[in-house]
Amino acid sequence: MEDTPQDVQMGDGDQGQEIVSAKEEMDIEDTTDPYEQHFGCNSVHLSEAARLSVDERAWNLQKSSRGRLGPTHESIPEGCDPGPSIMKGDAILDRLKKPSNARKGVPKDQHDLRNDLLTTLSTYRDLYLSSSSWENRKPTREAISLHLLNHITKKRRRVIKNNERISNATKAGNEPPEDIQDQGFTRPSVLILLPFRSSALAWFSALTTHTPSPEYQIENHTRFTSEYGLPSGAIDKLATAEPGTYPHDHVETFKGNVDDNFRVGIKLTRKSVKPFTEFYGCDIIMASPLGLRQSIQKEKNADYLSSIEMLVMDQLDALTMQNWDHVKFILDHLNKLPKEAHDTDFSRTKPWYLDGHSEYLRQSILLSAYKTPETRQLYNARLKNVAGKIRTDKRWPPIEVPEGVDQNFLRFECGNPKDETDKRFNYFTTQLLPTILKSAVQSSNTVIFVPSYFDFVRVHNHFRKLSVSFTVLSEYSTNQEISRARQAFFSGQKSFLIVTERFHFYKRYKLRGIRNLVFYGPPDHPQFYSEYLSYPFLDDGVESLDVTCRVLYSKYDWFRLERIAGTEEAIELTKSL
Amino acid sequence: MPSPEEASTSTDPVSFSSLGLIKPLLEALEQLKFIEPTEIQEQSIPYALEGRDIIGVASTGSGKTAAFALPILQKLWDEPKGIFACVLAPTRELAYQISQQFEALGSAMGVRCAVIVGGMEITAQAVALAKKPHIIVATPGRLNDHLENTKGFSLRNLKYLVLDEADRLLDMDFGPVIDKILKVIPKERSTYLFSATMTTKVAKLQRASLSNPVRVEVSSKYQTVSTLLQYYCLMPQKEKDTYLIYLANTLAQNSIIIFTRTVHDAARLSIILRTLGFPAIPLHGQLSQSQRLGSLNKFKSGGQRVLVATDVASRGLDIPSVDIVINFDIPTHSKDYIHRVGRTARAGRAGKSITLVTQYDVELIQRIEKIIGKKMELWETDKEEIALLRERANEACRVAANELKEQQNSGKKRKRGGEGGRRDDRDRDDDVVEAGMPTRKRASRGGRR
Repeated sequence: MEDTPQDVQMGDGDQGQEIVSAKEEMDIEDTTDPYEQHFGCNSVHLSEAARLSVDERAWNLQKSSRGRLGPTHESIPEGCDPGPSIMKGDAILDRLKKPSNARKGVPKDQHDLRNDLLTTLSTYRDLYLSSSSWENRKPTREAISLHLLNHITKKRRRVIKNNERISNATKAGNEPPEDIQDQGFTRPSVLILLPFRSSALAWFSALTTHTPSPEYQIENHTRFTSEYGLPSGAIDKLATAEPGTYPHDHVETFKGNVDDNFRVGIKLTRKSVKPFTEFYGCDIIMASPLGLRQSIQKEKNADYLSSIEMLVMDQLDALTMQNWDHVKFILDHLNKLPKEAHDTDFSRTKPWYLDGHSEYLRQSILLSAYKTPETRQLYNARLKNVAGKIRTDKRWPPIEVPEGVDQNFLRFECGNPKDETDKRFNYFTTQLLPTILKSAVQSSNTVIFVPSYFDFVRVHNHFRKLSVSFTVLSEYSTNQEISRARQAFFSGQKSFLIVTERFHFYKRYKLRGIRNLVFYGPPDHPQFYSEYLSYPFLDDGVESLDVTCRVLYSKYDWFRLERIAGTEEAIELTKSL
Repeated sequence: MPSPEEASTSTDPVSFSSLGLIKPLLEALEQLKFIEPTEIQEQSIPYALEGRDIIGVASTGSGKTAAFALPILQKLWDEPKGIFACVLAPTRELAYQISQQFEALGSAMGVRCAVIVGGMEITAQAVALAKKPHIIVATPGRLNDHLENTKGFSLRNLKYLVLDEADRLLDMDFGPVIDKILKVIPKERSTYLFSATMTTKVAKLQRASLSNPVRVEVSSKYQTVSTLLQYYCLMPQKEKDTYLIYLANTLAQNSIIIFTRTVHDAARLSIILRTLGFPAIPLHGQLSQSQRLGSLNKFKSGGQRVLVATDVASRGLDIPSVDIVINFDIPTHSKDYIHRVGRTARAGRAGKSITLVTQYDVELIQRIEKIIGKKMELWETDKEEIALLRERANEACRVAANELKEQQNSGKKRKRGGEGGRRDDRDRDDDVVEAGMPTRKRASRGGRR
């Protein structure tokens, strides 16, 4: 099937093939459909009171439990009735559901997870899965993909139907109907923000599980696989390694193509999926924050983000390890009035787009392995969906560490998040470090683990002024520097080693020769904590009594502390004195 | 075209309610302290309510805007729908002012207006139009731009078309654009033409394609109001700046508009006056649209007492408290003179105009006197005081010349493209050629596409 230029411009793909069956026609007019209720011309959720509550951050909170998603916190704008908080069954079109329903041998828990996700997403509330583990990634992505496809199909079907109505009226010589308002400013309505090309490949295959051949044709498929996979002939040492050589989560994150600069538009029609479509003619934009930011800065506008109705951010934990600034930049440019017209038919633009209210209806879906202050801030302040928002709440057990190691949690007082970095630095340099330096045992074979690079620079500079031997490892270290530093530390030539969390995230080196551990702050990744605590035992003849561990923390480290010490213990640790 | 029939003048006292206006409008009028209709309102509203096309001619400041706004709002009340009426005005400032008046008069009925003028962002306007405002107030160039380029926008259900300052809109500069706009507006509509000076050329009026219009004229044409005292002030050409400063000095307590022929003079004089401590502010076509609105607002609010303007500000603007209009240059068209001095002595208030006349301008001034049918009086000057001012005036002129040169140097880069033939165009402000920076911005955007 070839698109004529006219078709691309009109954005209605293959109108000739669009034969809307009688049944589908019925549910087009169905105003009780959750899609219509939320994204229709007269959205039931969008009221001035609701917008006001959202702007003033006046939310009614309630706790509930949602099957496989576990316990959840739900926020509904004050004084609004967003309808049932869970749908009886999902609102997915049968045609789209068929392929995944037909699949055999899906484990029951995955099947349940899919259903719980779909019924939750069908309420059009925002969803923040704050502890989605890599084991569930595939079924989660597939369920969300189905929801996205459903959204796009319903939207496009309405547009195509109206195109027909208008052209029929003009052909018959009548005035075309005037009251049709069925679209946004620009065509793309789904944005998926991802950290790596490999994640884009995974999402693409999740999307295409619902669009099997021969009903659908996937165009440019080989090109997509080659650009988003590894080049042919390259050996992926992570994917091919013996299981257990590398930590599981590391393999899952870094196998495949880990380029973090990409963007691609995907166009959907009734019969085809077409990646590499120009942005203004596509339905889904898949991009890394960096790739998208560069495009926005090049074009000097983000008009293709003006009509995003679904935002998916996957692997937020990896995104926070990349540059969070880019993420904020993208969010700043979402759902704004466009700067140029881009062939928008303004008479068909939905009224809430014209009023600049589209951000109050956008559904955002956030997926992360764990909570961070950044993502929580995003959830609290940037998600304005008037239908409400749901976040999952996991209670963490204490992380497993080698038996017998004495973990010493040191709390410093701090009353204001702004002073936190200064207070931490002061405590470290005036109280913690002097005691370490006084002890002969503790002032050698000591690793100082610093989560943030900014703190790392500060600590590094402080060590330069001291007369102790030390070396550093950060995400900017070259391979040569890394091997030299590891060697020097292992041989005892250097007594101190300062490492950053990102260094460990990207490289995952096992460090030998550790006896003393100082965590300048608890790491974001709980598994890093247990990994570091196990490293001393790589060397022969190390007893657990030889190992010391200190963790510096304040009450603002709650999220990280919770994952290491466990929820219960963390409550004790942060209780005010 | 049938010749317009003349309206007769009645002498009975009338009120707005006896004109047949509906309650929401009467309430709004009361709130705005409009107690009784002006002559033009009294005479045109009944015809308008009958549904006739109108050519309205009334002197400056006599309430023409309300004369067409009221009947349109009344019809809108009967048949509320989007894109009901379109008002065209020659300048952006006037467009804003008309829309404010519509909003004030229609506040009780919740009327929605959109102002569509050059220099503002196109997409934001496209969005505003898509919301189907009841009233569109526009300058012709930008409106036509939207008609040609904004998908989904049309005027095919328009009921009312108003040309304010109609003679200006129907003349050479705007004519072609107006023709284009009229082509896409339905023939079954009411059309109102309003101005203080109206052309009698049938060819021009035909442009507006009126049907059976009634001509409502409350003053013989080209008249200035009787509350306006008009003076001239004779001086040698090279002493013009000094005399102006002398005038500004002796009239310092008043709010003054000084009209110049060129943008350069307007910029230069405002610098001179500011250097000497007068609160002067420029208004001309080389400023950006936001600067222009800012200048006007500062002057309206009384923060700055002296406005130095080109003819951008000569038509239609209603600034209640202008005491004195000074013509630094004699306008080339005597019509412009009437519009300029019409900025003062509005709505029955008193006002003065002073025209600076040099040895070269005697003929021009006589022509104007002939047209307005009045002799101007001589404005007495004090030779000694002027002599005292001369030194400081020359000093200020030097400062201004330097400052302008600097501005030009710093702005050289961005001005380069616009040098040459377009320099004169900038002041036209007729949206055929847009003034100031926005044009270039748009041009470059277009180039990139």
